[in-house]
Amino acid sequence: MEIELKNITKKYGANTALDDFSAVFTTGVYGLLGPNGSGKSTLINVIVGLLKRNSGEIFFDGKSVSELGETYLENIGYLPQYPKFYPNYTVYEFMHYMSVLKALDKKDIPERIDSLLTLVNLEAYKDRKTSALSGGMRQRLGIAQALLNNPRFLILDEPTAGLDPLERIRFRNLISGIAEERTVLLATHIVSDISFIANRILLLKNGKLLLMDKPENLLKAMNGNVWLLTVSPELVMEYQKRFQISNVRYTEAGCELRIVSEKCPDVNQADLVLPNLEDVYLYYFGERGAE
Amino acid sequence: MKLWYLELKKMFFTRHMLFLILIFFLVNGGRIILGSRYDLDAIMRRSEKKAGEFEAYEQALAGEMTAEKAHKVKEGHEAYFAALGTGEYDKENNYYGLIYDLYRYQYDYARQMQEFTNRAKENAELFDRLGNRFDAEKNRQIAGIYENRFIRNFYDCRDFKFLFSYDFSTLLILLLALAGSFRLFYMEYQNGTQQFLLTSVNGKKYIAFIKLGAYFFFLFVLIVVFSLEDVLLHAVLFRLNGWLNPVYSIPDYQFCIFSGNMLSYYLFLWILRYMAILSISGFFAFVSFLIQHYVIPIFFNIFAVIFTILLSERSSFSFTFAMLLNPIRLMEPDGLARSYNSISLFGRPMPVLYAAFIAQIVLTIVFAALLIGLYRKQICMISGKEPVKRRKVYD
Repeated sequence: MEIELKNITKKYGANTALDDFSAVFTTGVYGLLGPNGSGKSTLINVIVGLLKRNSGEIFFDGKSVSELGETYLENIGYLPQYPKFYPNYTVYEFMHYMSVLKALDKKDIPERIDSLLTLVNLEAYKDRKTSALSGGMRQRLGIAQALLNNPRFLILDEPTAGLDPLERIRFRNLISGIAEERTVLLATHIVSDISFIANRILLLKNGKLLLMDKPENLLKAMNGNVWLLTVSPELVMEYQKRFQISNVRYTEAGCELRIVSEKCPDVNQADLVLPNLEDVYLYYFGERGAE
Repeated sequence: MKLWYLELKKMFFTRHMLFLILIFFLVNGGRIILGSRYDLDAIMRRSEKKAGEFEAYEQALAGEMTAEKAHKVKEGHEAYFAALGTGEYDKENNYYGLIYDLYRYQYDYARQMQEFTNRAKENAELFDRLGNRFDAEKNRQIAGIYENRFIRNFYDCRDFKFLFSYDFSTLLILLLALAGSFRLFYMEYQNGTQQFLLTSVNGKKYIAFIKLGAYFFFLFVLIVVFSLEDVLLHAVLFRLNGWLNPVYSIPDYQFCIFSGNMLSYYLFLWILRYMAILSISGFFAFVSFLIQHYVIPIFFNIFAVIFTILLSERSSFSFTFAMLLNPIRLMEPDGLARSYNSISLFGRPMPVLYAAFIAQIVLTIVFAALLIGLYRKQICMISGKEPVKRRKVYD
């Protein structure tokens, strides 16, 4: 399966939210990283058809989605950012409603709902009103509805926003489990969400695709740019002005700074360390220091 | 579970809506019980019936009209008038005196209408000779409607007119319809759930149709609830009797264009009102869809309610094409049905009531088709805005 986005541009008046965006997705998890306002949600809304693009084309297995119409929708699953549900529906009723909306075969619906509620660990809550679900449960219900039509392309917009760490891990494992035979596009600004599960990462800034690569390649490219330096606490402010600091840790020896810089911040004391994805994020999206 | 049922539950089986319905139900009941729209005769009849004053005489007279019964009523009436001078009061004669005009009307109805239709046929022939095809056709239509009418059984049906002309519940249903239209698209949009609809096959293709269907069904349920309340309270308050008697048994309905019995006439009126409500609701659903991105629907609905009330206060309407397109007029169908009024359609006469009914069906279909068509194309989507504002407005 292949989804190709070709020269997608989306403008809101004079403001360009997506600028000539092109990418090709095949099977696996794609992490769409970018700060707030970078165009992630716009991109997703264009992909799922909620927004009309100003120019460009989307191809699904080589065919234009404009021509595919409903067939395209049959192949996508979508979890909106902060999904809201109908408060007077039970979990089961909501799933049933979505099953009918997604044109599932009537006789398959109960079985499909049961299996998905089991998958997302909500089978015990199927008679509970959606308004009585916790944040994590709601996200899992959102995932379950997105999977109802067994989509080949699953699109998740900020799926872990507002979840506690335990729910976040649970959610991550769930995504890994369902991504084997489909394409998952996961938009987030939380690096840890995708650091473990993404096969490829897209970095989006001001509506432009900066990079799209495997996480290991992104990390490899950052080699030699991340430093660990221990300084006295009174020097921290000065270093923050000069460099991009991805972490500050107070130890008995002083303040341990994790610095992202192409230049060595201190030849005598700084140690070169292996980069992680947060360093990559900071490198591309953080405010640059003076040096 | 069917989609329309789920849609119905989602939109209307909510605490707010059920509470609103309950309040309106109570207000309607209060209006019927405490209403001051009854004339003095009706109030007297109501208290007489409540006291069981004339129950035995009523029962003796009710049913098939015979010459013997008619004679007895005539004698009673004469005795009643005589007693007015002497001051001698007899309960039975008093009763016959009070219902004399009604009995005479019902007893003579067939003969009077035969004369009337004969005259209409003569008129038709005259207009044919004069080459006035429109009036000739109109008189033939009148003769066709009123011919062969007769009343077999006597019942004091006069108080049915209060049931038939009662239209406060229609206004309440209309208000609920407006509140309902607000929930169709605006709340989906404001709540963010619209995204589920627009990214699914049937959500994009059929949901506007299903929503509209559920909405119209919701209105039907409201009509059943409120019409039952109306009929039950009126039946109890006025001890209505003679449900199977023709509607023209009521003197005020002598020329009613509907020939069925009281029960079927009541159903007929509600079908007409339902059509008027559908037409108005279809329009509001359509407008609510178009402007769902804004808070305007709230103001729009308030404006619509005021406008509707003002419009319904108008007592006289001329029979024009514009009137046919005005659903408010059809919300008070009793006034239109009580007598024959025609309008020229393609040079032929057509009873105004039926023409208005057809016009409202057409209007409803037009609004529904516009709404469904525009929804599928999402014409109301405005570029330059995020597709969804997230604000919790569902209860």
